[in-house]
Amino acid sequence: MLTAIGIFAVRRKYIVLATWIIVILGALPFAPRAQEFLKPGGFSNESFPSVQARKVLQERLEVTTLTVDFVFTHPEWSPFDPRFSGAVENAVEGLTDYDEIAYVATHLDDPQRASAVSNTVHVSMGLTIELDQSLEFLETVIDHVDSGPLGLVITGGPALYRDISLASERDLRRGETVAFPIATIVLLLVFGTLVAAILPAAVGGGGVLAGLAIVFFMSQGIDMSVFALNIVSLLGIGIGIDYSLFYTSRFQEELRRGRTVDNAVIAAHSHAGKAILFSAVTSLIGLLSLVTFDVMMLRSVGIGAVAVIFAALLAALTLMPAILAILGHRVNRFRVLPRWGTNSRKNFSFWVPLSNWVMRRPWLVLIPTSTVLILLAVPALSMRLGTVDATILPDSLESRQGFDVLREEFGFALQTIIPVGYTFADAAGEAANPFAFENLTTAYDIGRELERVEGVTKVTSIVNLDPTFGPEQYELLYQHPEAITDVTAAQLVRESVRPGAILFLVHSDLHPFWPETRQLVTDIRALIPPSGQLHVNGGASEITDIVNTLYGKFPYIVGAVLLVTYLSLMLLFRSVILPLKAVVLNVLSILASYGALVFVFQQGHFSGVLNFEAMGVIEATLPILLFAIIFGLSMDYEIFLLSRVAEAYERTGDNVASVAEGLQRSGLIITGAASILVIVAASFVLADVVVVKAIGLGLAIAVFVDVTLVRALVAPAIMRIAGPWNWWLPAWLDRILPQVKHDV
Amino acid sequence: MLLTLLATVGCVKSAEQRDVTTGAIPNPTATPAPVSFPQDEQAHDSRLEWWYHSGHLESESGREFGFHFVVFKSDDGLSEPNLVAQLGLLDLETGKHYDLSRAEAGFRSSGDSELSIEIANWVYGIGGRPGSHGFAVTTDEVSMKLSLTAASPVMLHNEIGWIPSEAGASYYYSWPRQDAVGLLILDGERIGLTGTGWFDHQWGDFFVLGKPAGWQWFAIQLDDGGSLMITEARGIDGVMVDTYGTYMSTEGEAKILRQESGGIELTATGEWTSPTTDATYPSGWTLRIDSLDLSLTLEPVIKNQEVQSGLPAVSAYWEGKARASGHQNGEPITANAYAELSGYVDPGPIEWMQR
Repeated sequence: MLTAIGIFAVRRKYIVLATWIIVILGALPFAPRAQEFLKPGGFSNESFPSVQARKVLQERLEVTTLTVDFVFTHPEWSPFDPRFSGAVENAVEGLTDYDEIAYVATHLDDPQRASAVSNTVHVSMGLTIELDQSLEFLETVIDHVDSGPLGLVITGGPALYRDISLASERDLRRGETVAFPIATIVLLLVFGTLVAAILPAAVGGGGVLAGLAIVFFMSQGIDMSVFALNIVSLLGIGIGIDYSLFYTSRFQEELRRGRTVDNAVIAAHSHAGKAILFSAVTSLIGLLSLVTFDVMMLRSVGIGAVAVIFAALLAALTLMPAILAILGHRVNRFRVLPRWGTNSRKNFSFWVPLSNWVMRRPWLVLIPTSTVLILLAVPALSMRLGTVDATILPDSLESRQGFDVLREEFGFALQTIIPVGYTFADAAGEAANPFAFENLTTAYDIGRELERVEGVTKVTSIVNLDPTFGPEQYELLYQHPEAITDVTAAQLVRESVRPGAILFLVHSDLHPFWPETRQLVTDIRALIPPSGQLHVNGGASEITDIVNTLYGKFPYIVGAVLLVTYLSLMLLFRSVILPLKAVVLNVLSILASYGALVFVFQQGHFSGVLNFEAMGVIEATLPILLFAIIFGLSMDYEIFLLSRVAEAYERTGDNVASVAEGLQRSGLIITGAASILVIVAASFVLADVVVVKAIGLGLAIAVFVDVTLVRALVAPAIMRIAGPWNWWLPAWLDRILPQVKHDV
Repeated sequence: MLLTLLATVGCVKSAEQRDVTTGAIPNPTATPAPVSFPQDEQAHDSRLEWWYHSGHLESESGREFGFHFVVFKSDDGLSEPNLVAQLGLLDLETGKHYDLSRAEAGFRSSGDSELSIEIANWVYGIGGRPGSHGFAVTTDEVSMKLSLTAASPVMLHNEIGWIPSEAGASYYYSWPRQDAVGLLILDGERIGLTGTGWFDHQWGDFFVLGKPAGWQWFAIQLDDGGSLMITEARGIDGVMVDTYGTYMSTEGEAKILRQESGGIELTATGEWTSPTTDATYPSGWTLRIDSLDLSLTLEPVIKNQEVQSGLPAVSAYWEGKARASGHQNGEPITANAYAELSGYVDPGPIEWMQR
C-alpha cells in the first residue's frame, strides 16, 4: 500500500505537485486566520461542579464573575480630590445603560477602591455576558470611556484574554520567523546542499499551512482554545521538517547506492515512508490521548495536533516523493558544505568511537548518566499544580500592567476568596425570604461551620458580621435591611442575598494556586447543610476541578499509552526487554523535562534570562501536554535506533556489534532531526505567553536529553549489559504474536 | 516513578461528607473592661469608632462660629479600615454652613501615646495627655487648625462608659469641656479663634441603623459650668427604646440620668425638611429632667445644618449648633448646645427587594 502510494506519486508527480500547489494556495488565505474562531481560555468544563455552582450563583444570586477593571491614575490629584472623583464619574457615566453591564463600582461606592499608596483608583464593571462575547463588547467600552485628565489602564478577564490572543498570535509569528531559518541552517549542516536543506523546510511548511487551514475550518464547528495554536504550530513545524528530513536523507542514500531517481524515491518511500508512518502513529497515540480529556484546551491541542501531523504525514508521503522525483539528482545541487552523508564510513567518525566506548564500559556510562537523569527529574517531586493568571503575559501589555497594579496596591490574586452559595430547600413565597428566622438560623449554622474549616481566615456573609450575634440578633438587624448604614453590611444585603439564596465569601490566606487551597475547597464541598444545598464556586474551586479531572484520569491514560506502546514495540521488535527499556527511558526523558519545568517555571531559576515571572506552580495542563508530545517524539527516535540495531542483529546475531552499528547508523539523522525539533521548540522560549514558553522549553529539554543522554548513552549501555536478553521472547509469545517486519 | 508522581501531584485528601452542626451559638459578649487613659483615647480594633468634636468659637472681634469635626473609622476585618473625616462649620455672621469631608482607605498612625491620623490631606491628632486633641483641615474654601485641651474631668456614660444596645455594644466617654484655640482661614481672611469644645469618643462592635432607627443627641454646656449629655434612641422598629444621659456639675461630679429613674422628657417643638435629602428633622425642643430640676428650650441657631458630605445618602444626619435657655432649681439658665439627629433620611429601596 505504502509502496503503491510512492509509485503513484512518482508516476503522477506533476499532478501530485499541482494538487499540492492548489491545496497550499487554497490554505494560504485561511492558515493565517487559524485563530479567528479559537476561543479564549478552555481550561474549564461545563460539567465541573465549580462551573455548575457558578451558574447557580449567577442565576440565584446574580453574582457576576466576569469584570472589566479600570485603573485610573493622576500624578498629583488624590483619589478623593473632587477633580479626580469627578473625572472618574464622567468616565463611567452611562455605562450602566448597557444591558451587558450589571454594575459599575468606583471608589465612591467603596473607599477600598482607592489606593493607600498612590493616586490610583480601581473601578470594576461587572458583565452579564460570557467571556466569548465580552471581547467584542470590550471595544465598545473602550470607545465609551473617556478618562479625560486621568491616566487609564484597562484589565480584567476580557482585556486579559484579548491580550493573550494578541500575544499568542505574535508568539506564533515570532516562533515561525526564528524557527524556519535556523532549522534550514541545521538542515544545511546535515545535507550540505542548499536544495536538500530547503526542501524539508518547504514541505514541512506546506504541511503546517494545510494543518492550520484545517484548524481554521475545524474551529468553526468544534470549540477550540486559542492556547492550542502555538503548540499545534510548533508540532507542525518540528514534525513536518523531521519527516521530510528522514525522507530526503533516505532518498540521498538510495541515490548513492546507484539507484535510478524513480527507484530511489520508491525505495526511500518504502523504508523511510514506513518509518514516518510508524512515527506518526506513535506520536498520534500520545496526542490522541489528549482528546479524551474533558478540557477544551487539551482536547483542541489533541485535535489540532492530529490535523497538523496528518497534514505533515500526507505531505511527506505524497508531496515529498513527487518533488524528489522531479528534482532527482538536483537535490544535491548548490553544495555549501563538504559531503558527510549518512552512509559514508568516514562520517561515523564521532559515532564510532562513542559507540565503541559505550560498548566497552557500559556500567561506567550507565551509572553516571542515569544519575544525571534522575537528578534532573528530582525537582519534579516538588511539582505544584495550578492554573494561569495574568502573570503569564509580559508586563509590556496593558492588561498585565493593570493586573500588576491591582495585585500590588489592592492585594488582588494573593489571597483566596471562595464564593459559596446556599440555596434554600424551599425557594417559594415567604419560605424564600432570606431574612426569615429559619433561613437566617440555617445560614448562621453554615457560616459558623465554614469559619471552622481549616485554612479559613474569615467568612463574609449577612450572618457572619459579628461573632457575638446569634440568629435572633440578625433577625432584628434585618427587620429593615434597607436601613442598615454600615458599609459592609449594607453592601452584603444588596449584593449577597436574594430570595431563596444567601452567599458566603470564604477567605483564606492560602494562595489560590496552592494545593492546600484545593484541600480547602474539598473540605468545604464535604459540608452538608441541614436543608438546601451549598454551591462552591471561585477560581480555587475551578482549579480544584481542573486538577481533579485531569489527574484523576491522567495516570490511567499514561498507563494505557505505556501499555499500548509497549505492546506495539514488542510486536515490532519481538522482544520483551527492549520495549520495556524503551518505555522506561521515555519516561525518564519526560521526568527530566518535568524536573526542568519545576526548576525554571515553578521555582523561578533563570527567570531573568528567560524574561518571565515565576508562576510558583506548574500550569496543570503542562505535564499532560508534554507527556503526550514528548512520548511520541522520543519514541520516534527510539524506534529509529532500535530498528537499525535489530536490522544489524538479524544480519549478524552479534548483540554488541549490532548495538554499536545501530548507534552509528542512526546517530546523525536522529541528532539532526532532534536538533531541528529542539530549535523549533526553543524558539518558543522567546514567546511572550509564559505557558507557551514553558512548553517550548520543556519540549526542547526533553528532546535534547533524549537524544544526548538517553539514545546516545543510556540506551546502548543497557542493551550492551542486557546482552542476549535484549532479544528474549518466550516461545509461546513468539507463536501468538503476528509477524511485522521492522524494516524501517 | 511517573505514575507515583502523577498520583501524588494532583491529589488532595478526600474529605468525608459531614453534616453542618446545627444550633451554633454566638460567642459571648466580652465583659466590658474599664476605660483607661491615655490608652483608650487611641484607636481600637473594633467595627466602628469615632472621635467627635463640637464646640462654640469666637474671634477676637466677637464673630461667632460653631463647628463639629469627626473622624469615623469603620473596619470589617477584611481590608484596611475606611476613614471618613467631616467638618461642619457654621459662620453665624453670614449664616453659612460649610459641609466638608475627606475619605481614605487605610489607617496610618504614629506613636503609642500619641496618634496622628491622616485622612487625605487632613490630619487629626490625639495627644499623649488625656483630653488633648487637634485637627488641621485644608480645603479650597476653608482652612482650619484647632487645638483642644480638656478643661473638665472625663465623663463616662452609663457609669463605666459602656452602652449596650440591640445592635451591639460600645464604649462611650466624653470630655465635656475642652479649651479650644485655633486659626481659621475663610475666603482668605485669617481669623484667630478661642472657645469651648465637647469631645465624644465611641467604639465597639456595633451597627448604626438608619431610619426608622436613629437617635437625638444633645451636648449641652450650661453657662454655670455644668455639662449635660442626653441621648434618645429609637430602636429598629422606630420606637423609642431608651433615653439616657450624664450630667457633670461645675465641680466635676457626674450623675447618670436614666429615663426610668430621672424623669427625662424630650419633646420636639418644630421640624425642618431638608431641601437636599427630603428628610424631615425635629427642629427645636423642650427638655425637662426632673432629677436635675432642669427645664430647657433648645433652638437651632439656623435650620439648615445637615451633614451629608463623605457619607452614603442614607447616612446623612443633622448636626448643629443650638442655643438653650430655661431654669434649673428655679434659677434662669442659658447654654450653648450641639444637637445630632440621626436616622431621618429615607433609605433608598434595595433593588432586588422591589422586584
